[in-house]
Amino acid sequence: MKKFTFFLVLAAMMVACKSNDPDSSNKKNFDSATEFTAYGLISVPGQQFMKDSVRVVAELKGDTALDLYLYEVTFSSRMPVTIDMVIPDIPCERTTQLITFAGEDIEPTMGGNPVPKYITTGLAGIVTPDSLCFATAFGGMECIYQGLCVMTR
Amino acid sequence: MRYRVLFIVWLSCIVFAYAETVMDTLPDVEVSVSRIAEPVVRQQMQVSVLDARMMEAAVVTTPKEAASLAPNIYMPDYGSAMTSSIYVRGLGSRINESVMGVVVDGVPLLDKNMYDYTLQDVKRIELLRGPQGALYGRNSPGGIMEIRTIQPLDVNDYVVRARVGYSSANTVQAQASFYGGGWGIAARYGRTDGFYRNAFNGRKIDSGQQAGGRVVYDCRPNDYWRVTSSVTADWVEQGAFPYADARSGVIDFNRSSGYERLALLPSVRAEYMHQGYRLLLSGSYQFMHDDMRMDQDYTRADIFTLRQTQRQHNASFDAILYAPKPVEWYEWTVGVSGIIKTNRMSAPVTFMREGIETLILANANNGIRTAFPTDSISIRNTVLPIRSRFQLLNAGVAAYHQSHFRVRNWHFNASVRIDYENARMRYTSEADVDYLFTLMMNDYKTLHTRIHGVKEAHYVQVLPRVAVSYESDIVTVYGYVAEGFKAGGYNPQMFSTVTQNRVMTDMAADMGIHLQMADPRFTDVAVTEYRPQTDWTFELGAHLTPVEGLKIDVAAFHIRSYNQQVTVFPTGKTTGRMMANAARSRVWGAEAALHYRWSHNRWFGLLHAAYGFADARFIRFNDGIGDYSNHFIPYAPQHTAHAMCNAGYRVGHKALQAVSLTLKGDGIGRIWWNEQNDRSQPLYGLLGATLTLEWKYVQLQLWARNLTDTRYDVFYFRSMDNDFLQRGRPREMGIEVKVEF
Repeated sequence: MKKFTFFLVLAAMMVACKSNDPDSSNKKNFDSATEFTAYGLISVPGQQFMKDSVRVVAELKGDTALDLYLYEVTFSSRMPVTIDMVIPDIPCERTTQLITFAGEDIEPTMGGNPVPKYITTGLAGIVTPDSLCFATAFGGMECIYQGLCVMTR
Repeated sequence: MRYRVLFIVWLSCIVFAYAETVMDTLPDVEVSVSRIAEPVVRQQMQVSVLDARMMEAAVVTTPKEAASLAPNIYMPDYGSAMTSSIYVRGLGSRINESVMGVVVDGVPLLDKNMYDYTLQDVKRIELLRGPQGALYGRNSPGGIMEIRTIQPLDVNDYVVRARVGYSSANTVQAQASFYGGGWGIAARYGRTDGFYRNAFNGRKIDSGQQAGGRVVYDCRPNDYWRVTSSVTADWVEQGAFPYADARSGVIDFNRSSGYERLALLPSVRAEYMHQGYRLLLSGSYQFMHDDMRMDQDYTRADIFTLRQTQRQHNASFDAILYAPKPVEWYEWTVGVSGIIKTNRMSAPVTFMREGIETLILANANNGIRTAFPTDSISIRNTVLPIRSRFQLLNAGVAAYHQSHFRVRNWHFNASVRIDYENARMRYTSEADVDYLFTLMMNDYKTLHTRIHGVKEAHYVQVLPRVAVSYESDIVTVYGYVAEGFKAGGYNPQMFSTVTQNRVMTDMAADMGIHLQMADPRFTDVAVTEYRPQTDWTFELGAHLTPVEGLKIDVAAFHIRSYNQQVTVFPTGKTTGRMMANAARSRVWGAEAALHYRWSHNRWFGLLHAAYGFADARFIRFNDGIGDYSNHFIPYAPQHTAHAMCNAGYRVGHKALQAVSLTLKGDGIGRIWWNEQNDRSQPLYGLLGATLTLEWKYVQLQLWARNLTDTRYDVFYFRSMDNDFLQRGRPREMGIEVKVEF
């Protein structure tokens, strides 16, 4: 039931992100861009924790995979450090003005070091000219990100 | 214990005939090495004069005890001989610079770590209150303590003095000196078992011994010059910091705490007088080497320790010229002075294993595990020393001028001093940490953190003083405005905190993570700097001599302090203490003193009373954690009071020449212990008594302090979320035999 609720939230979030479609210079560059930078809110429902202004960069590797860079993220208000994370080689699909990505059992790196204990499961997300959103679980810790895309190149 | 006290009281004495002591044969000189060429009763400030007889009746053996006889001066006895915190009229601080300078025979003691020592052959102490910056310069916004000792040319022919005393806690004091033929030689030794017991090992924590002496050569090469050269030595070794848990009142810590100090002070003073000119020259070299050890958590847990050693080479120079009056109504004084202070300091803070776990890792891992339940940071070091070394330099020069005008009974005095000082700190602080963050590392890694650099600052102070007074036969009324300053500098005690935070940020950077836990205020060396404090004092007062032998002094004052230096502890579980420049503060206060000597037929006596009040508050002080505007300034007492009554009878018989009894009382408080003003020591009183029996060459004295065994606290602080205090000394009794011929 918990997993069903999680995917319902993800679907709603994806709809909300896709509907956010004001005029933007990002629209012009989007279909040729390979790097997308967003700032937004990360929330960890299990910790009842949210942190704003988190920078996430999605970097395409060809048209079939991308790396997701999360900068200075934390997953708890009591965590004394913030971490730079990379979720590498996420399978993705690119269409006009939209990139979708999803993956299972991806080993992220933190501080440049692989962390197999926190395998990424249920990762799904989208990139549009004005937004970058995804949901996933790190070693069972569910995490949702909603960001405003500020730069594409 | 009770029977030991009775034994002391009923000890038998030796019978000799009575004779005057060398202190009685000294001329009643009211001005000698003091820079202010006016009689005490004409001074445009408050001055308390303590002569030898008065100090003997009050059992004054240290500068701290002498300060208690004057209003609005408080030198609490806590910690160790290194701790010489002075509070004058609401001003003061626990560490670093002092608000009151101490001058011994015209030579200023350049470091307040040297202020606490055993007095010997002191003939007079003058306590000048109010800013003395114009004539004395740095670190005298509260005043000056001028200590004057016996000089060889003061005595006729020769004098031999010796004294032996025994008192509570198996305390023994012995002194001997000889003055004659232009030479003076003095030596002293003392030891004590101490008063405070450490519950951890059952031993007395403040036992110790001290020794010292001096050699003086005093001569008049011709009719114009007097030259005095001396070498003074002082050594102390003691257990220290008897801080008890505030809730239980028990001292209980596992690591040894102590203090040892060796000081040498050779000096030369010269006085030239001719055709109305008077030139005073003095120069000194001051060496001090001390070693302080502290169990810094003050608990039986093995958290962390501090060991601080200093090696100081200091020098001072003063030249003062008093010119003859060019006209009857005008005279002037000019002077120049200079100081150099160099200090090589080592101050390693060592975290023990338990300290590493509780102070460094516990909070970090509690937070990490909220997100990563099976991961943590661990440090493999058994002990973690943070090694800090400093080379400190303060150098300054100053010039000053004083003009004095007289129009009938009116006196106008204006003085100004220009003071330049350079403060420099070369620092190195480093630590080596073997750490592992299981989230992203497979094995321990060694991280070397080093902070190294030089900080330098320059300060220029212009210190004016303007005073006016009106004199009549029985009263002098005065008013003045004056500026004083406490020197600025650098606070080495903060370096362990700065280095700890730098270790954590370096560790995080090494792992590619970002630290959020370091207190951002204490990651930069700039936090160790404190600026000079400047104080403006406005005072009105009077000296009255209505009848012979009676002197009454009264004064009211207002002080405004800018960039006041206040001791604060960093928040949370950090170490060390720091000097902070509180924004602004003010003091409203008043003081009164009465001194009456009398003699009638065979009866003689002395009455001395002093009262001081100081309402000292922050006008504006926010340290980023709390707003303490309008709060009382901590550690400075609001009320100080002293009363002493001495009465004697000259028996004039071979079996006994004279007998006298002194009763005295001291009142101090309320003392607020923190800026929050939620902890304080209420007003408390201490009673003392002295019985003196005199013969021709011998004096026997029985004395007691804190007769009612009043319990009071002399110090309180908070560290690592624990409250600590030091209790005042319990009842003490003693006996002393003095011989002089």
